[in-house]
Amino acid sequence: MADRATFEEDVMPIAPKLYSAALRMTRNPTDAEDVLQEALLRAYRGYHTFKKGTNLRAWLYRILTNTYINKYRRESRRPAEVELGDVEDLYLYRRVGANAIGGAERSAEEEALERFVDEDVKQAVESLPDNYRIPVLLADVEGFSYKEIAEIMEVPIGTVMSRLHRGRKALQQALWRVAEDRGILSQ
Amino acid sequence: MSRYCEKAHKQLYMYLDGEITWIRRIRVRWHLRYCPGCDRGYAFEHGLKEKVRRSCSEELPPDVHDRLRALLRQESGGGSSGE
Repeated sequence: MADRATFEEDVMPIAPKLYSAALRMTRNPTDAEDVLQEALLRAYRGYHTFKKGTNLRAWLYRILTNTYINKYRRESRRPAEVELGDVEDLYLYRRVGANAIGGAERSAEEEALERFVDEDVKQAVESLPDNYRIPVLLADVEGFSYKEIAEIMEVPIGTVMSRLHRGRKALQQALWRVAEDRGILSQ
Repeated sequence: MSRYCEKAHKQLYMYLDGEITWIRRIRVRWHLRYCPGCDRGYAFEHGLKEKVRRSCSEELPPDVHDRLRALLRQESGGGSSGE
C-alpha cells in the first residue's frame, strides 16, 4: 500500500512526462492541464490502492489515458478508425529515398529525416486517431514495453502490437503529407 | 529480396522496441551486417523513432507545475484526515 503523504514527492517528478503525453492526447495546453489535474486527483484519491514497489509510471499513465478517453471520446472530432488501406512496410523510407539527392553515402534518407522540424512531427502525431496515437506515444515517446502498454490501455498484447504497427504506418503517411505540403524534400 | 530480408522486415518493430529474444536479435544483426538495403531501412526506422521521441517531449511550464502542486496541497489539506 502506498501512503498518500508521499504522493507529491513520488508523483511530481513524473508530472512533466505526463504533461507531455496529455498535450499530445488533447492537442492543446488548456485541455492538457485539465486532463492532468483530473488524473492527478484521481491518482491521489486512489493512491492507497497502488501497490508500492510495482510500476508507478504505468499506473499513472493508465489513469491519465482513462481520464482522457472518458473526457474526450464523446467529443471526438475524428473517426475512431481511419481508412488506412494497404500501406507497405518502410513507407516513408521508400518515398524519402526516391526524392533524396545523391543516395550513396550514409543514408540520404536519414538526412532527409532531419529536415522535419519538431512541429512537423507533432502535427503528424496529432493527426492520428486515438487508437493509433496512444500506443505510438506510449511506445515511442514514453518507451513503455508492449506488456506495459497492454496494461495501460487494458487490451491484449496482440492488439497493442497491431495498433502500434498500423499507427506507425499512419504516422509515416501523415509525415509524407507534411513533407509534400511544405515541400521540405524538394530543395 | 531474400527470405532473410523478409524475416528481417517482419521483425523490424519488435527489434527496435527491444521486444525480441536475444537469439533472434543476433540473427537480425547478422543479417544487417551483410545486407546494406535492410541495414539502411532499419537505421531509418530507428532514426524516425528517435525523432518522434525528441519532437514530442515537452517541458512542464512552471505555472502549470505550481497549479498542480497547489491542487494536491489543497486536496490533502482539505480532505478528512482519513489515514
